[in-house]
Amino acid sequence: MALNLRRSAGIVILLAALLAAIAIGIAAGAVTLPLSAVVAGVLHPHASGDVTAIVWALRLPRVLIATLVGAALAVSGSLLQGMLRNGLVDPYLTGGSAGAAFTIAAAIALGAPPPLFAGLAFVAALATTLFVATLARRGRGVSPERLILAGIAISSLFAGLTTLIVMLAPNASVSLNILAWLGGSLVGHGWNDLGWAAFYAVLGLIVAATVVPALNAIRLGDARAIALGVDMERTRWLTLIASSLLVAAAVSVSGVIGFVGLIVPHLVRAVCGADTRWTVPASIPAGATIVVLADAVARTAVPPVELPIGVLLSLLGVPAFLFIAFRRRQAA
Amino acid sequence: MSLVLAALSVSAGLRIVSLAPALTEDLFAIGAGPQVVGVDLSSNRPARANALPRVGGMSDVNTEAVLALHPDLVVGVPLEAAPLADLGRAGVRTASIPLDGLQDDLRAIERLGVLTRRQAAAHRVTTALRSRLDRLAAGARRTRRLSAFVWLGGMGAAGGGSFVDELLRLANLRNVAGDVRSPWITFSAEQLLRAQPDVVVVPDPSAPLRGEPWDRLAAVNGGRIVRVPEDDLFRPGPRVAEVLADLIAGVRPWR
Repeated sequence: MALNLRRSAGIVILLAALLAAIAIGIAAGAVTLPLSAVVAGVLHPHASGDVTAIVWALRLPRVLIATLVGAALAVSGSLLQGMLRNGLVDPYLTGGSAGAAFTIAAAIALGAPPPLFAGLAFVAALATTLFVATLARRGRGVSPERLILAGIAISSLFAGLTTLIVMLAPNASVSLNILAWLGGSLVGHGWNDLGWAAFYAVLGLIVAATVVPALNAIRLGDARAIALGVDMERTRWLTLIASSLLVAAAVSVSGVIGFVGLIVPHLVRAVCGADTRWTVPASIPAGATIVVLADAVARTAVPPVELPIGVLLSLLGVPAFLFIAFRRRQAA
Repeated sequence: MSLVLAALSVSAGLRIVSLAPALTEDLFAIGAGPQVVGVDLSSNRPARANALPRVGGMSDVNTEAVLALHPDLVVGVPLEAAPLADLGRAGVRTASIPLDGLQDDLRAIERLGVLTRRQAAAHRVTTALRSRLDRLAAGARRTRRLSAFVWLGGMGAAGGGSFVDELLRLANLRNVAGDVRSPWITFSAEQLLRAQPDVVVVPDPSAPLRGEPWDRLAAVNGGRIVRVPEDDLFRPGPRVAEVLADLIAGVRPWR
């Protein structure tokens, strides 16, 4: 009972933190605006003028995209760490993001229209993940160890091919576009991109919800999970599909943003314990808060220049992670 | 002193490999073109350079391919320090020539003149270049000053101190990203909306500017976009005066 109370309190705090982060993200920007102007900009999207353009067309979609990316990567990381019972796993491990990144780099080089990117990213992420899972098949199921090895190998292959595309791009501006996008950045996306990414992310969350109880049983070991009636094969495939959908949603609007999918599941376990039925939902506000805050700092630290969000995620996230991990060890 | 000794050892049969497109153009401009026996992948001017063997470039200079051309002199930029050092160890004379701005550009031509014993030709080229740049800049100063944003993909922009930034200044254009002392920066979309530059300079070819924040820029909506061939935008060399003339002519309708 005490544990459930603590978990509930943890989720409430995480949700409050997310709301605060979103408010900060909308209020802060490279252009300093009075709070009243920001509020007016949010409430009157069709008003004319600079302030509305900045708040409604730039900040709001960007903060919501940061929310989506953080939530998607964190949930994906929680799912995969649960399925593989390995805290070193991150959502990029199954090769899905490398496949998606390669496909989008190719799409940019070939001049494909940006609205196609989310769909292409999804198809590529799913195809790569399924290919990696097929390589990792052992008997009827998927071997976790082979999945990790095959994922790393295929990721390297796609990373190499992506570099090749950048080098062979027909002109410098194509190379620069691909690099700007690959660098992991929330720059340059609007409401349309958010819509497409949200579509895939919500699908991913729905699939994720169906496997969470089974993942919670797998935590106790494969044998006991099977004894509890878990269909291991079905659970692993569905987890991979959910993870691909979430990764594709994130990659299509942000390129490759590291760290969130690996670290947030650990932070959440520190707050909520190991029960997957709590850690997966709690990953949503936790991941989103971290990315929204990191992006707010990236936009405002040294205007008019924007810092790469990966740098800030490392600077903000690593100390927090070390603090929590260290405290836990002392407590244990 | 070493430069003088180096110059003395040069013969008419000097074999040169150039690892940077601007240096290739410089060499041809001072009449050393026939001595160039190999170039990097990006060297595409003058047209004759396209017929020469390619040896990679920047991060992927193929030093063995360079050596196979039996060069007496290899010229490159400081970013190519590692392959230049390897070539030096293999016994080839190398020169690392910075190209970070217009002054560097003129100095590079003079230095190549010394290295190839074509000082007089090099001097003629730089003198003509200087006076043409001065004339163009003086003409531009008599026109209305406009603000400009140089788009380099994504939200990338040419910052202050870059080669393009110098060209903008000579063209009497104020670079809205010029306060940041860095040649390539990610510029805030919010600040760009606030700045509302009079013109946007883009490399040609490049994808059309669509979506946020471009749809809300008066310059983009009004078609005040100047396309500069991307080779020219990123590359110093003996044609800088022509690039400047094109830039000035490109913005003239909106002065």
